[in-house]
Amino acid sequence: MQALANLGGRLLSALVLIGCVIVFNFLLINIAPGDPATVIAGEMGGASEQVLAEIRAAYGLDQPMLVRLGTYVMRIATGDLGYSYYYNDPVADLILSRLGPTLLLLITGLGIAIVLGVWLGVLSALRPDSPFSHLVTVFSLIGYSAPVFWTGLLLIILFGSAWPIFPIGGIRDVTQSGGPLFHVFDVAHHLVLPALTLGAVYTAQYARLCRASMLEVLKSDYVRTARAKGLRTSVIVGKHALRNAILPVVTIIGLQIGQMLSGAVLVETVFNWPGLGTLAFESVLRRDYPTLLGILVCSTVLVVIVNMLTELAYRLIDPRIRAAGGAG
Amino acid sequence: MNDSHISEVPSPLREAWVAFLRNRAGVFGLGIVGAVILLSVFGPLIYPVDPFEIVAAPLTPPAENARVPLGSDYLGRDILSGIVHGARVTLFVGGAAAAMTVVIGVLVGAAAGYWGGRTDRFLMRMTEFFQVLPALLFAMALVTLLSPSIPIIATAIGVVSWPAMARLTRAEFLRIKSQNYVIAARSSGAGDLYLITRVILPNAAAPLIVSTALVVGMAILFEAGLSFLGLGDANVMSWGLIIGSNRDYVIDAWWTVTIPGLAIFFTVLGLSLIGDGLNDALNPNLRER
Amino acid sequence: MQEPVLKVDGLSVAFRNSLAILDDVSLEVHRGQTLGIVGESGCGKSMTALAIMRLMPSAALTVSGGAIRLNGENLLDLDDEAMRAIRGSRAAMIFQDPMTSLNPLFTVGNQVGESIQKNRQIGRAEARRITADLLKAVGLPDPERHLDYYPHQLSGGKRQRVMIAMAIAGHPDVLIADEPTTALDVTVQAQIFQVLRDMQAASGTAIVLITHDMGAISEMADRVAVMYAGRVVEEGPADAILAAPSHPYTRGLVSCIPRVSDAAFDGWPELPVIPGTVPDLDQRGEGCHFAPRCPLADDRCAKRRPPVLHDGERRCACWYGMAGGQPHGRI
Repeated sequence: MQALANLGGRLLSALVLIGCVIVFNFLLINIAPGDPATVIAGEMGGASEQVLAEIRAAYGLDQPMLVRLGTYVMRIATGDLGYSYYYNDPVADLILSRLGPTLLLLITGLGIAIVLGVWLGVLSALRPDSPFSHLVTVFSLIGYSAPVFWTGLLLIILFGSAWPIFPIGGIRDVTQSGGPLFHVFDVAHHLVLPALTLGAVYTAQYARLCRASMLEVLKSDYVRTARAKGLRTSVIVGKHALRNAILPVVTIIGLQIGQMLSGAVLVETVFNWPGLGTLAFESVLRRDYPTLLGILVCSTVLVVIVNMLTELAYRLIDPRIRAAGGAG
Repeated sequence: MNDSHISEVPSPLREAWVAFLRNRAGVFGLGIVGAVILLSVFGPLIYPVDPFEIVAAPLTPPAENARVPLGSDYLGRDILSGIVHGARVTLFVGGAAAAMTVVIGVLVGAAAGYWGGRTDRFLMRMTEFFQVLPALLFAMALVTLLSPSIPIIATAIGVVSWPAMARLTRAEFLRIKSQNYVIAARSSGAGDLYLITRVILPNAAAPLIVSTALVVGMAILFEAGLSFLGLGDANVMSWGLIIGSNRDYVIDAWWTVTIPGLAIFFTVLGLSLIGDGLNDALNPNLRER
Repeated sequence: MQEPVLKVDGLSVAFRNSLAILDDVSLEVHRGQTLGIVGESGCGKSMTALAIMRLMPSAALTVSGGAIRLNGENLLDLDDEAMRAIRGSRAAMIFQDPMTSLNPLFTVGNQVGESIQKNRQIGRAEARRITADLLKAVGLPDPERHLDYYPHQLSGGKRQRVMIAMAIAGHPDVLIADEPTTALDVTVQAQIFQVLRDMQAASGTAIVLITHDMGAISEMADRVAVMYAGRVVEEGPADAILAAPSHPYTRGLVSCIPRVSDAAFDGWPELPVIPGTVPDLDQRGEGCHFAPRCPLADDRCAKRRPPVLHDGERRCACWYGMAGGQPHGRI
């Protein structure tokens, strides 16, 4: 019951957050220089007087500010994110068609980062003075300091000509066709470099964090207890220590998912991955504001969802939070 | 008269500085960042080639033409000049955005942590709101809708980066607020402002300084990302802009992206190393080991 | 006389191969008996316990000499895997702070069950049943319900009972209890001691009780070893030593025990204290480590290692010797 009430509370505050972003969008359109109708149409989209008049009518731009805000929020709440005059499509449809590739990239990148980062962090914490551990530390620093788009371009240099075993752009090879299995393999093949690029940054960060928390946990009293019980090292590390050491990693995943989405925008642009990031980039070039703002709203929703998922994961791992009824 | 006597006791700041100097990686980082600062100040005077001027054949490799020692870009502009002139905007935007991040973050975090209660709840809700905003997309929208000028870019980065700083400050304030010396100062009649700025903040300084070094690095990466996407100020050369404008030629002309990327990488690496060094130097528990 | 269950013989532990943390420590404890090790913090009593379990907290700490015999077998000769098999089975340990010694993320049933399943090839349901029995044996009410509790849902006393249940799950020959009640309320202390005594009466497990509290020694211990700065300074039957301490340090400790009679009649009695502190590791010479704080010390004490004098079942390391349990000269 308590858990359900908590969930309800989280859901409510998530909705409030998303509402704030919508209002924020509205304000952005209104503080932008020029006629909001021009902004909504996009400077290059179709600024004919007829279109502008349609927009003014549809958005009630002749109404007072608050009424307009209400209309705007209601439109978005019903899933109407506006209309892209560049693509001649509703923004919601555009975004839906690009959401899949972005999710695929994010989930794969995150998966690589979690598995590899935790693994490297744990191994280096077990032998904190070994050459391997120093190597992990250096790798973390490099991964943290290298701009993600630059890493991607370096991979393109490497795999583009010197060692062309992975495709360096796009999501599939349009010159070839095959069954569904071929299609899956083809997408996976194209996914390798973008996912590695995105994953590398966060692998570095999670490895660093996990190393630190694992070192802390290995010094804890309960790990000493586990050793005094005569448990196998694999059980001590894999059960007693790891589960505690992973908690900060779970927290940071939630806090950083917005950042990771930013990384995905850059990686998608570098590798021409047809996701929300390239769509956002294209909308910027084309001054397609409805699409850009629609992406902003949708990606906020995505971040909020991931945040709730990580919080749920944290609760599953840590009974203390479960009982106390929430960390925040 | 007894000034000399007092100076024999090392101040904590001096002690931290000495500890920092013992950290080789930290000193290395300081060296890099110092070099980049010098480059940004004096570089354009020593190497006055206009980074926008076409001075050689397009995509000339490094060390082939003495006019373009590090090669030329897709239009035939000098990469070295781009690096030299780009240092300024990189450091300026990084510094300005970081300053903004620190100011907003510390103000919000201090208020939330010090007053607690409803103030805390409200400010933390606000922080959470800015934290879930997908930072780059938000900055893209802001810069596109307004104008891609340096102050707007710095502001956009500052606006999306402060939540982490606010959380850190709040946590430190919460921790220090209940310490005995704060309670003692309060009971002897110190006001809120005095307590916040003179009692709590100095004691929270260590982690805030460390994270400031990291915030500058983050801001530089962020600025590079925006310029890479073509959302920087098109009238000012920056490292991200060189990479972004040459990315279609990357397979034939590796130097056009590799070299400016190295410049960004080493600058951020230097800042991270300084952050790590400061962390070790300012944390007395670690220093003893 | 029967062979001791645990016999520590001349154990020395060094820090970075140079500074002696433990110096020629010898102890023994028999089946069904309790040995108390007493001393101030820093005297090496916890290090002795960890050395017996071979759970050195840092790789910089190494055993530099001596033997630890459990039923005649020298634990120092065992490889890591063989030592692991002994921990939690033939030798078990409980710790000072029950608040942090249990893993916060697993249920009581899980953590105790783990100790049982380490020793016996049994299924989950069976382990759960035995766990409930163990929890009952250490005096937890409604043991079935406690199986599914997490540590943070239990009080300190209950957590320490869980620790004991975990330790006795493998029916150990010897149980080392490192300050098991220091972190607990006085009333809870008495209950924990009762649990330990009941457990000992039922199973005959030898107990090594590490404490800084002479009261705990008089309540629990059959024999007592007094440690100071890495050495055993006095050892023997607890009641004899408490009644007539030989070593000046032991005398100091014993006179620090507050007595109700004094307080009741004279208002606040002035509790005697031993002036000074335990010397740092690098300040310990060859002579008696207690010399700087000892009212009897002279030049010889400071320079030369005191001889170990035996008197029946007692021994004492002091230049001022002992006669009938009393040192020569007065303190």
